[in-house]
Amino acid sequence: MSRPFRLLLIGDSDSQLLACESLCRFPAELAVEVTINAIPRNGTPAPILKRAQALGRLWRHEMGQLLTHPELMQFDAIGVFLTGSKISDFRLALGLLPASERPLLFCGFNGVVLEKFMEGMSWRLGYDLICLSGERDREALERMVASTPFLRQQTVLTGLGRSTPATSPLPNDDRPRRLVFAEQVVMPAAARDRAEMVRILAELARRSPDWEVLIKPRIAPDEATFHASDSHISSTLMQTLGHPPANLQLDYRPLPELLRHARLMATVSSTAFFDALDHGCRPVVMADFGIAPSSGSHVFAGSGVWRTLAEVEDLDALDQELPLPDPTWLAWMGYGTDAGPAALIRALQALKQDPPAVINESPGHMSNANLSFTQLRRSAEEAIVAKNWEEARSLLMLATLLRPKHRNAARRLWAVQWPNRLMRRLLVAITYRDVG
Amino acid sequence: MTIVLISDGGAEQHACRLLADRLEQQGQPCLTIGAPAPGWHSPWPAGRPQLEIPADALLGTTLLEEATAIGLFLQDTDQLDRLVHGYRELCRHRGRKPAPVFSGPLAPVVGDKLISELSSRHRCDLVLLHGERQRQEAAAMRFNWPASLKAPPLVCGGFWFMPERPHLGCLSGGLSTPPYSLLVLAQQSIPTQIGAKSQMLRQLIRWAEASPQWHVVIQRDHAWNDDEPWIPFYEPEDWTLPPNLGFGEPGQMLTLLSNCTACAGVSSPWLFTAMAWGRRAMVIGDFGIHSSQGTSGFFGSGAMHRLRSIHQLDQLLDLPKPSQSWLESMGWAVHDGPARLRRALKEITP
Repeated sequence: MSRPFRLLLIGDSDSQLLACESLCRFPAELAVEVTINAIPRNGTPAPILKRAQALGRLWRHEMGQLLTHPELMQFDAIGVFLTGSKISDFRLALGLLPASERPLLFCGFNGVVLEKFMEGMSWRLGYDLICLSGERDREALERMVASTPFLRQQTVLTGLGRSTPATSPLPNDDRPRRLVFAEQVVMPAAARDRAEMVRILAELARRSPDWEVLIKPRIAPDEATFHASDSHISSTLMQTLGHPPANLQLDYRPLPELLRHARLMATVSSTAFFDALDHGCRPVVMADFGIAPSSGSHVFAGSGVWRTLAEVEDLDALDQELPLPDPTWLAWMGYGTDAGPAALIRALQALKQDPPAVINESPGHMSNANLSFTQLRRSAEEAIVAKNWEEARSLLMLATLLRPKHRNAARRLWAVQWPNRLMRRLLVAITYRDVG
Repeated sequence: MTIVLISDGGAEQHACRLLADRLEQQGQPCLTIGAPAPGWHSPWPAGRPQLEIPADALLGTTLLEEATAIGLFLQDTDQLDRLVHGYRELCRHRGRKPAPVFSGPLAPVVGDKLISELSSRHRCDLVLLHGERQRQEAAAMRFNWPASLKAPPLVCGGFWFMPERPHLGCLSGGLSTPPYSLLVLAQQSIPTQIGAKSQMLRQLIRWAEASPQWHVVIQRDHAWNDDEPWIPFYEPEDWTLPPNLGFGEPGQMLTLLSNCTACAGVSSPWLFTAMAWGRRAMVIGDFGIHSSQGTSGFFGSGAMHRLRSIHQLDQLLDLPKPSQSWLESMGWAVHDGPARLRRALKEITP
């Protein structure tokens, strides 16, 4: 028997850990051995960590510890699901070695990309492999990198399926009359729109007394996710309705559990749309806010199940009328196709045999990867060691522009700017921190 | 019958004048209407719309009654929505058929910015874009949309917001012999980081000092008044500018673009002009690919460089040319924009 394929997945926020979790549906014959490293972070929901633990080994190392971990080089591939510049920090730290002498590095996005695709992609370019959901993402990347050196960027479609239920989904008629609303922390973002969203759901619940409308909050009040919000949905509910109808409730049970026992699932633009399909629950997209890019509604308008809930007669009528989402749209997004975690492993195995060439930037073509904050700080430290104060000042100036609130970068800049040599040496020694 | 072109800001008024000129060359009468200028300095050549009336006062006039089409180029997209709605309501009330309304972003944009621009023009009858890249992105945005969600048709008009060629006698710019000139396009709110404009100015001073054979001109690409320095809290006495560095005069941006050897900026739309006119162009890449910096649209230009990669300005002469295929996809491949616009308007006019 061949040795297992050793995979390390790294995530920080809960969304990124969910992305790691969704990948861990590898067919047994691929013999994938998974380790997940959840970067310690306050507020990460405990159930997500518990589920991650069930998928293989769970590590809780900080980035610096991880990069120097003795086992790191023994993995076949490392999947990096971190936020912003940390994605490129990791690649820059490990990517100095040729692909044949280190684990392959891949990354991806968490679910449907509603905005900032170019920005996000610009942090990821240069990875050995980038996971994309479907043709929608692939076409967007092709448009972005046309006639650039990044045209050779390797990608694989891993789809939007996130769970494989152990049992067949219940038929619709055997499910309780229940609609689950998958709340998103910032979609819509404006307090006024969030109040309106809650009002529409409450009215729908009142018009449908035989139904239960359950709002599944994205996070519990004491938890944190990638997006920060001012007001938890439980507050919005009370502040908007005072007394919600009896058949409208918040429900903190895991989403899959709710979806397995609901006929309908409503959302503004959550990737949970596809989770509903996994569990045999029919999704409907809330069209009440029209085409609003800030809510991601333009992406879901083509789903074939775009409905104005304020105009729906009642949930019985919606249950009767609502079709399944349009298969053409689903396939374009990356659902119901061959795309999946197995495709990722096959692509990584192929790259093991034939390692990808490094994508060298050519003059005039830049990506965010070269603007990494940490990389700037590291380069500044090298310049300080070489007593190249001008260079150090320039690099730290850029670093403080990227992260104006970063204290140590500001202190180092202050230190290297001192004209008096003795004073500068003293301050440089005092403000030293290991950049990793 | 007349196409009425309504605008507010300086760039919009300048673009509408250019569009009107080109349409009239094809025998299509136009009327340009703009909001009265607030008396600020403007980088665009002197010129006024034919009528100066604020856009929101137009509904109280009869000016739109004879229009065969209305082009709305307003910075305030909320006002655009109100005007379209008000105009159609007024026509309905008077039993008239409303003329088609068209609009579009002034300069080529991509990604989130394009999606936002398209969304804010969802109620128009036609959207004027620039090139194939924008058309493809718009098609992706509207993929599989239901018929009930009527999306206005699109037309690619190329770089209609700028003159197609530089001033007479300036086709080659100042490329061949010194003194050379670098035009730096200064934007109002980009780069967004605190202190970034000062950092840029320091770099420009270093360049000017290291390259005495060059003139460096910093030209604001937006209207400004004397109370608003380009760099917030800028005090001239705090800075020692070398003699070969200065700020551009009002009204001269196109002259400077015509005459410059090289042009630099973070994400000014007038970088497209410099590239299209064959000037050496440097998109300052130090602030990354970010929607908020407007730099996403220049990914793929092949003209993005870091400030610190240039030590003295002669290096600008050796910069690779911007990617021609990228420039064409952004709109430079379309040279019959006004004719396309007329055809598209004809198609949607019953």
